[in-house]
Amino acid sequence: MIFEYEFMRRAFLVGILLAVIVPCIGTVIVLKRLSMVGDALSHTSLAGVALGLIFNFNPVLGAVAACTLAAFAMEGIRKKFPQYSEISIAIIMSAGIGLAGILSGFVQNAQSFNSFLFGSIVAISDFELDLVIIISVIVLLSFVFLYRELFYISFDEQLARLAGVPVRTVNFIFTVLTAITVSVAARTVGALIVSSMMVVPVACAMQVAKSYKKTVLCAIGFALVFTVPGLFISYYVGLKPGGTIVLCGVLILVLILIFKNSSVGKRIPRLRQ
Amino acid sequence: MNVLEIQDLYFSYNRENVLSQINLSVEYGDYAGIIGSNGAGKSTLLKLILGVLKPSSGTIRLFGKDGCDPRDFRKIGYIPQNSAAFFGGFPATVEEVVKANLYSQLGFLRLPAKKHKVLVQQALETVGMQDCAKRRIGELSGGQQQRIMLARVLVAQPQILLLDEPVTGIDAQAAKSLYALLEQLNAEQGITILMVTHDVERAFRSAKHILHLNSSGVLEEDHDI
Repeated sequence: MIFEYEFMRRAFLVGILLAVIVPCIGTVIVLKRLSMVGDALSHTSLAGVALGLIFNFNPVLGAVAACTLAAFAMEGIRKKFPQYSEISIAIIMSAGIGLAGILSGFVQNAQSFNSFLFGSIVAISDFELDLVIIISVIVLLSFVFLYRELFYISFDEQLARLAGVPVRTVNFIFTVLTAITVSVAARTVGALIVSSMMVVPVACAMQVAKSYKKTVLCAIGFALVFTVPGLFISYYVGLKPGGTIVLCGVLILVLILIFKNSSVGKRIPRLRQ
Repeated sequence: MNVLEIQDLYFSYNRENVLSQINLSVEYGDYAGIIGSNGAGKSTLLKLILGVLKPSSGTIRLFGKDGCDPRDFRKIGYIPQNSAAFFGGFPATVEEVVKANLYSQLGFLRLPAKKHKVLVQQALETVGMQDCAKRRIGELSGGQQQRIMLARVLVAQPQILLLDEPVTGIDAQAAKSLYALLEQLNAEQGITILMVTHDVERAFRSAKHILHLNSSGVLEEDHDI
C-alpha cells in the first residue's frame, strides 16, 4: 500500500501543500502577464543550489537566496523597461542559466545537482519538510491577507496606486513570496517544471471560472487534481513524480480546451460565481 | 473656488518640450474638455495632475494642496485611455472590479461590509449596469466596459473625474449615452469633470468650456463654444 511508506506520505503532504500555494502565486503572475517569471526564477535557483553543494550548505537555502536576489533584480529591470517587462525575465533567465551552468562544473556530486532539475519529491529530508510547511503557511496567510491588493495590482497597477493600494510594498512582499515558493517547489517538483506548476492550473481555471475568486479556488483545485493522481501514477508506473504531475495538468488542460470547443461545451456556461 | 490650479507648468521628456507654460484653473462643479492633436500632451497633462509624472517646473495645486497628495486619491476618479481594451480576458466579475476601488474605505482586514455592497450596487445603478454585476467584465461590449470603468470610479464618491479619451473604441450610440451620463453626473451630483478627448464636436456640446492644447504644448481657452 502506497501510504505504508514514510517517503510517500511526505511526498503527498508536500505535493498537496505546494498544490495550494503555487497556484496562488501563479494566478497573480499569470494575470500580470509575467508567466515566464517562474521559469526564470527556477533556473536561477539552480545557481543557488550549485553554490550550496559547492560550499556545503543546504542547497534549498542557496536556492531561496538566489531566487530572492533574482526576483528583485527582475523587478528593478522591469522598472527600466516599463513597456517591455518581459525583457527582465529573459535577462535574468539567461544570467541564471549561465551562472548555474558554470557553477555546476564545480559541483562534486552531479547526481545531487541533477535531482534539482527534475525534483525529488519522494526524497524530502526532515529539514525540507519543515521548510515546505513553514513557507506554505507564510505564503497562504500573506496571500489571503493581501488578496484585495494583489487583485487590484494584477488588474491595473496604476489604478491600484490611485485607489490607495501601497503598490511598492505589496510588490516587494509578493516578490519575496514568489522567490521562496519557487525555491521550495524547484526542490520538490524540479526547477525545469516549476513554471508549469505555476501556470497550467491557472490556465485551466481561467477556462472555467468567471470571477477572480473562483479562478484562484479553481486553480488550487486543478493543482490538487494534477498532484494527487500524478503521485499515484508515478508510484505505481515508476515515473518521475514532477514530470508526471505536470503532464497530468497539461493533459487536463488539453481536454478542457477540446471540450470547450465541442458542441456540448459551447452550450455550458462558465461556472457561476 | 478652484479644485485644480496649474501655474506656469512645463514638462519635457528626453530634452524635448512636451508642455509649455500651462496655466489652468478648474472650479468645483466645472466640466472642462481638453482637445488637441495627437502627441500634443493631453494624456501627459492628466498624468502630471495625478502625480504619475513630475513637472519640469511650475506648480499644480489639487484640492488646495501642492501636488497630488496620496490621501486625496480617493477624491479623484481617473479613467485612463483605452482602459476597457486591456481587461478583455481578465477573469473578474463586474462587481469585483467596482468593489476593488473601495480599497481605501475598507478596514484593516479589508472585508467589505454591507454598506460597501450597497455602494457598489448604487454605482452600477448610476451607470445603468446593475444587471451585469455577476458577469465577467470581458463578456461586455466596449461601451458597457467603459460604463463599468465609470462605475468603478464613482463607487469611491470622487469629487473630480479625470477622463482620458473615455469614448475611444466604442460605437457612436454608446459614446452619446456616455456623454449624457457625464452631463448628468456633473449637473445632478456636482462632480467636477476634466476630460481629454478627440471628439471635438461632442465635447463642445457636452462640456461647459473647452481648452485647446496646441502642437507647441500650449493650452488656450477655445472660445468657439
